[in-house]
Amino acid sequence: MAQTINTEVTRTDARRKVTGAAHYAADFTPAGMLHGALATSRIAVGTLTGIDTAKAEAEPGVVAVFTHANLPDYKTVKGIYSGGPGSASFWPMEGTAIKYAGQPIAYVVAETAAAARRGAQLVEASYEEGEAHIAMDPAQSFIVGAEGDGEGMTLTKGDIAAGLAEAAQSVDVEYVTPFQHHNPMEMFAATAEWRGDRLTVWMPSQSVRTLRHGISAAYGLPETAVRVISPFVGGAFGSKAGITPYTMLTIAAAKAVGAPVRLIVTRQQMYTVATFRPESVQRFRLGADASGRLTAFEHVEIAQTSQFDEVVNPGTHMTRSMYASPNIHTEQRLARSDTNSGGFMRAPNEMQTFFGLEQAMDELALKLGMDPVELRRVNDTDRHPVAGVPFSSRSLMECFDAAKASFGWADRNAEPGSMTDGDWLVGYGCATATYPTNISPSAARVRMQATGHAFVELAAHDVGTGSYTIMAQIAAARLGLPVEACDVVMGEAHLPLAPISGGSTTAASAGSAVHLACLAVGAEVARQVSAMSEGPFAGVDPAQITLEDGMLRGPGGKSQPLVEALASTPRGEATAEGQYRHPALTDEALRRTYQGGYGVAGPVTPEMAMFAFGAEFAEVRVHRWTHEIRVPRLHGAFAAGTWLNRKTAHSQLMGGMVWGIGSALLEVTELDHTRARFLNANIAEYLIPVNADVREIRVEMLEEQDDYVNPLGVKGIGELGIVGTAAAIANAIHHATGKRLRRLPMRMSDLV
Amino acid sequence: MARDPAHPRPGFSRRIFLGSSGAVAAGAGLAGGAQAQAQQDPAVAPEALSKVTFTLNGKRRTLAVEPRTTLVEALRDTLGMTGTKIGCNHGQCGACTVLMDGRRVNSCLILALTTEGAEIVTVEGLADPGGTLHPMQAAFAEKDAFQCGYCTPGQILSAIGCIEEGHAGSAAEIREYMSGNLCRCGAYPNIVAAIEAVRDEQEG
Repeated sequence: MAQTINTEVTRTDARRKVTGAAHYAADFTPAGMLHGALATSRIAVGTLTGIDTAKAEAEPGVVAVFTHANLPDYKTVKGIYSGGPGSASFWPMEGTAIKYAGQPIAYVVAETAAAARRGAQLVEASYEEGEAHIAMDPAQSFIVGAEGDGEGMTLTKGDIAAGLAEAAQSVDVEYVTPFQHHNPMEMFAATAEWRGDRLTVWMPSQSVRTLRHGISAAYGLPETAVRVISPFVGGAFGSKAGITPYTMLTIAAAKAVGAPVRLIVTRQQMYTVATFRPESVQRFRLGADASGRLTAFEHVEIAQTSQFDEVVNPGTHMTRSMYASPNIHTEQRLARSDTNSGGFMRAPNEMQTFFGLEQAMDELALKLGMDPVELRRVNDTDRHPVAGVPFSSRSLMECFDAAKASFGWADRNAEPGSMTDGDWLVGYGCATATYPTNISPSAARVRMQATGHAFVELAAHDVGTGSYTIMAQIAAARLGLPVEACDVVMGEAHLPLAPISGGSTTAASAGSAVHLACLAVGAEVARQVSAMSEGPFAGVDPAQITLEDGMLRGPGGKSQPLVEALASTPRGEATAEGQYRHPALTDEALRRTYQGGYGVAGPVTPEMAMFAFGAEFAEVRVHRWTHEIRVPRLHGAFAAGTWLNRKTAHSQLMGGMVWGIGSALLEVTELDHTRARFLNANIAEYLIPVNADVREIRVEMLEEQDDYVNPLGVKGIGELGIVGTAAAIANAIHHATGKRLRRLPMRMSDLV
Repeated sequence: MARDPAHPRPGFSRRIFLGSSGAVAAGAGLAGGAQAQAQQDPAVAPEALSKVTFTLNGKRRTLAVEPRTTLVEALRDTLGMTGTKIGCNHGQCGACTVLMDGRRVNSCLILALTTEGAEIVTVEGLADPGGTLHPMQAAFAEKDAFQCGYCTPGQILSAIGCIEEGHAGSAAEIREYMSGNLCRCGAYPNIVAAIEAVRDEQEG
């Protein structure tokens, strides 16, 4: 049997994706389907004083126009950050209140998409406009939640003032990061079809069970009556997790008109009807002794939130996990402004905080006259700086040493502005990447047949991550089958529980469930063959039979391929479910997950701290005269436990680094401060990296064994790649120019 | 807030028309209009429709569509061919790229009625009838030139166009001439590698 894990396997869904046969949510068309379109608010804050739908209703093809006055009732649910399944806690079209620009005010149903769009344009609204502020005011910030370690939103260990007083060098610096939008290539879409009291929803989702939970709560339906189908997702990055108003409105409209309805949210509307990365300010005060050892570590993060949710993405939990320091103080603060609720966007706690931390470390290294890599080495730790428990594995410096060598860091002249190539100023910079290993409960069902095929079923998602492929690889390895013989069925809420595809949890959590389900199939076959009158295991205690890489093994060296053993049974088929739960997972987290929420063990358990690590190195070129900033080379080395598929893992890490280029140099949702609106709400003026922005990216994947995190030894990697990129580029810009840019994105105008 | 259940829902009578129009996709499932003989926008009054004839993936197709229907809507909604994706509907992202008379175009920016007599190639028309993938499709699969796969049909058609135009001379040139096709997953280096592999194969 060929090795199927820690090898390069071409995606099992590749053929479907290159032939157009991969069906995304909006590719499903129930018979008699109508089309929906949203009309949205021009103002950010105020009251809807009138809404005239007559012209819209008169438009040929328009079937119905819904406003707050005639929308069928449903029970609204709380937002994710308030413990519910919603994308936000405020539900538009429940009344006349307007709380953010671009809030849905009417929903048009028509016979074609074009007629629906035209109808939405013809809805006329009048408002009483109130005062609105889109940017947060950091001076008005507040702390949410408890003090202390673990989940505490503030933490004090030791004495920061004393630590700064004894420091040989210190930095006190602030970094600013902007609003950003996920902009998956697939636009948000929802199709709803009612058949009596049963409902089917097709929707791109990174959490089909969260959707099902929210919908069934809204309509008082049993979860068995609500199908949620999402076999392929055209990118999510955090934007397709909670149940959104556009979904609820589509379901309500379909119920009212008595026909299936599909809504495709416009690219412009995607900026306001779902979540985004909130803007933030990151303040760091670091002190170090002459050898570079940290004597004080203080991080205060202030992040934007809406008026109706407290969107906490606790980045300080990550930064305070990073380096040893006897004195630590962190605060997680929020400041409100008049937007829809933000959410989580790829590396939600880490992108913005490590842009700050890893520049602050670079600034400190310069003051100390130390090599930035050596400053990380001096402060590396095998115990969690706050909790004191050991890291289950931590290969940070191995990553630095590997990336340093491949990048050619030794050629760097440390003096800023000292390296040039013609009219280009050349800079090298580096930064740490880390991501917590979040382990969710998960389940999977495996049905194996004597023909040598298996179905692997679980409510996980492939949002481009390669989940279909790695689940097939895990099953193939355990059952002793070729990868192609393992047919993975995912993206349906009725399948066995799998977590939200967020927080880099799927491979580690759902993968472990597939692993356990395969072992359970082995146990089931063992029971059957031990009860038979002949065969190698006849009469053997089934508890003595184990499954190892597709072979059943018993006492006295007895062995038989699983598929052969299965073929000898009268049924010729065996089905079993695996239920995975990390020993450190609490009952409360287990319950939360089964109710559609996000419950995880880790990253810090009572015994261990679980994190993946990486080191990223950037070469930056800044043109002497135009100040144009280019990134010709990015090298990253990463260690994240077992690599399941070296091809798709490489793509994920590389994609994360491309995201880092975007955050560093391009991505910002611009603000209209006078009208409290997002200005560049389209994908031409909100800049994301294009092919020409991305040059050499080298990804090195180090071997690391971790027996604590889960049976597969896997840590998540969906977000790891982005974490250090922006800081590495910022540090390289400083090295090239001597200018320190502390605000994202970093643009040529900042260097003039 | 209390809602007014008596609020009229004007236009509901159109459902009667909808029920009697012949071209509604039969059965739940994928857009099913493709099998129907007379392809026309379902549920639109016949007097609002105009006819257009073009060649799609080697076959002549005659459609009746509204004048405002774009090519991508005709492909997806009228013909039920959902391989071509919509990413922005404004010609900003390239997801809907198809080949029209050998040129790559954003099909969201083309009105269907302007394609009279044109040769259109979509992702469904690339593999041979036996199922053998076009070299560009095979290269995209092999090089992992996508993750979520949503921009992929557009990328593949654009990549074929890029080589045919003679803009695949170097990696730098490929990057420049493929920059109209956004990929949010960040597969760009692998997309370039796939195009280089196909170019080298063709030249070899």
